[in-house]
Amino acid sequence: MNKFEATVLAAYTAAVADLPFILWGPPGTGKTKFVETLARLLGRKLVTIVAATRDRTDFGGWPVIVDGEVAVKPFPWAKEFISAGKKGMLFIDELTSSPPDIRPVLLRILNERFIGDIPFQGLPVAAANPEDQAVTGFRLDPPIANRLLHLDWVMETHVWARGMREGWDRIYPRFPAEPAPEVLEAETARARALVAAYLERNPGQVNRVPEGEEAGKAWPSYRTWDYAARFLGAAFAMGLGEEVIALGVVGAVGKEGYGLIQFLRENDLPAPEEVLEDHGKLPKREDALFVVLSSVASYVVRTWTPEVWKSAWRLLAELVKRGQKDLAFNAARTLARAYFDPPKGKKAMPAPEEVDQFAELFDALEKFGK
Amino acid sequence: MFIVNPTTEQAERVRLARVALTRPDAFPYYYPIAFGMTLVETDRVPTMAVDARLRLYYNPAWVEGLSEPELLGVFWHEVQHVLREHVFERGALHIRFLKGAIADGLQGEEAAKRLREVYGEFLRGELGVEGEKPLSLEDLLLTMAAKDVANIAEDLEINDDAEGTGLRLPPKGAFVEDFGLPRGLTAEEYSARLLEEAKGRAQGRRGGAGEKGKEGGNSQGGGGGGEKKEGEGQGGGGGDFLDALAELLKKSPRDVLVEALAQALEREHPELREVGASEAAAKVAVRQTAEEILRHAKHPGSVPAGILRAAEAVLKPKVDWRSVLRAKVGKALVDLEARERPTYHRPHRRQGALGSVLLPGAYGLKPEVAVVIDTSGSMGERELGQALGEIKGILRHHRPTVYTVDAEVHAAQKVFSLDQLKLLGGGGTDMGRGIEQAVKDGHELVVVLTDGYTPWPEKAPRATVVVGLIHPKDAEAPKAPPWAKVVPIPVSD
Repeated sequence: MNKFEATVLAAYTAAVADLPFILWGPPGTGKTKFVETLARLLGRKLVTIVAATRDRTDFGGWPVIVDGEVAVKPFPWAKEFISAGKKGMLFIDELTSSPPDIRPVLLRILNERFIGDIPFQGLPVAAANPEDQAVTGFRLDPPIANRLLHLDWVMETHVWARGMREGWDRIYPRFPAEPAPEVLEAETARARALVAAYLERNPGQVNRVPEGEEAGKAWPSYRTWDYAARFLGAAFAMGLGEEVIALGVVGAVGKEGYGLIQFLRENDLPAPEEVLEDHGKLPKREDALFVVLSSVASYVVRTWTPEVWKSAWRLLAELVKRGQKDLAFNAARTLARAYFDPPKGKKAMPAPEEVDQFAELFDALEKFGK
Repeated sequence: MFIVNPTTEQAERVRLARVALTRPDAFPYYYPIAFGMTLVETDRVPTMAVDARLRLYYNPAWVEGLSEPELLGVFWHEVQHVLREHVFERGALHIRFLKGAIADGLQGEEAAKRLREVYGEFLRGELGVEGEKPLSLEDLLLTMAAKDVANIAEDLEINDDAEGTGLRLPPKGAFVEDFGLPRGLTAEEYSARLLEEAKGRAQGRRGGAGEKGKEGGNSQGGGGGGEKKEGEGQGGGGGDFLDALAELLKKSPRDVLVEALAQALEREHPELREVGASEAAAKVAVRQTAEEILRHAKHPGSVPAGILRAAEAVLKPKVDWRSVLRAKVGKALVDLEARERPTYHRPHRRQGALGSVLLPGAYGLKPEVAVVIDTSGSMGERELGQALGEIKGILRHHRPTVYTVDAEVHAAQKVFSLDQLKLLGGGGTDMGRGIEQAVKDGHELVVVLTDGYTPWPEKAPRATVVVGLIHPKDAEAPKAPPWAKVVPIPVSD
């Protein structure tokens, strides 16, 4: 999956989780086009406004005289969006180029889901040019930034070229079907539990008032961690992978999100017992395999029974067969050392014949010194 | 030659180097980065390089010439590039900054031509992007010059930490000793010093040639600031600077530009796009490695100090003062510009549609901006230059008035030039008087650069005041008044 596809899927997931998001990207790179596709896919009624050309009255309402009295009436676009109910999607383009006096109004749209004094149920989403490319660019105020899930829009040339040749719908990845509400709810509950467990262990990650330019992008707060959990729930429900999850989580809470991804990874690692019983449970990623094998080695030394000992060597032999001898080496070495020098008061284990397969590696590694 | 996930003899050795590095009695804490890597065998790199997706490119012929301990050292070196985030935003920011600094030293067409002469061949030869038409060739060449400096500075940052590890590096790398630089600095600090050195040399050379009246152009250290006076820089002063820089960098073999290489290879071999860690996975690997390092560091003496510092920088990143300065001044400007007032003197922009209802129009004023600079005492010249450069960038549409202040308010000028600033030394500063003068002249935003050893007005001035407080790195910044927005600017020595 390329970065573009992951970003597109992350935006799709955010919309499924009903999270307001913002796409940051240069003008003319297909953001608006994508939002239109997104609305179509999710069967939403899309209303687009360009924030840069609006002023307060556009949101607060328009004074008209009815029977000699002034009444404030909403604009047609607002009416259209509000009447679409839950099926509405409001796309605010050029958010960072909006005139300063409409910022409080935008805050009300993004946070309270009110246009002027009228509540709405649809989903507000936004797009903006990075600061140096914006027409009259300003940074988002931290409170507004904290109410959005931030995604960097990257249009790579090879993706664009494909769109030119084969049509724009061809560049998007296959979108998973929107999950059933009860599935979404259950997965969101699971995601919430995981996020809560992570933050309890890492209270330092909960909140950080941002400094510097970062203040206009994602930063961690209770609100955005909740966003992260809801995103995660939707991603689980649709079976999306780590790359998409990371974009959403980091887009919600900033770089603190990588800590959660790491936690999820560690949470996913199989226990040594499981791996010994079922070699199919061995993780595919090499770094994960390295950790699991290290924990298997220390599990063997800790338990020190002939059954576990033998099954551990069988596992290592299996890895040799798979051509991952080098990854198995450290575990083999730990076990070989324990063979010659068993834990205190424990009796020796039978000589493992599999160890011969590592002999060559032992010699090769000697050459690296130390 | 191009093989992804190779199973060749040299690939086998590189894979073994990973295992050797992460042995329990060596450096097990590097496993997330080391095993997150994907090998790519290609003769398009002269040596070995890693990119942001942890794809490790290596030249098999070069690897073959290395002994096992050297290969281990080289692999460790590549892992360090990842751990220290040279392959991520940190590296990109560094290059962006260097581009500004080098461009400042290279003004006028002559210099642009020289840039092409020095880097043009590199562009054709090693990158294989001949025939491509980049949006701006100048910009690309400038990027390469910046990248060249950054590569060496990053290697210096890494290699001086090899000593505590017992690892052996091939002798042909960049080492602080060869450049006469101190140990233990960051890549950004090393590159600032390299540029300073090149500027000094260019100046010396020009002095020798008997050119008059060009006192080094903008000679503040490593800085993004300083503007050449009209007519200067036409005489090829920039070329001298570039020559001096190129000569300086010759001390270390030129490295490959890994991002450009990755892009070129991806075009030629689309299958390369499908391999390698995702950006997120790479960043998680870095975090995990940093955490493992801190965990191991609990046993004293088990992790070298430089490595520990690198891990701490990953987990508790310091916000760069430049970013804070930009944000605070930028925010103050936007707030001042946003002060639109309603007025019935102007109709509302949509009055035409309103009929008999009258809504007020609005008017706003462009804020007047002043910069007040302390010219006394212990001001760090390098940071002053950089701070001025940043301010110049933010205020590019505003033409601020500049006041220099020691005990007296000296100048009120409409243009920045650091050459015109004389750092006088001596006590008796009063920044309050500078602010007072600026406010009296009608400025609504006053940016102050000072070391903080000054009396301040007791009452808040009738202007937004942002204070850049330049202070020694290890000491606490002096107090600034509560009504000011303060940005501490630490000076490195």
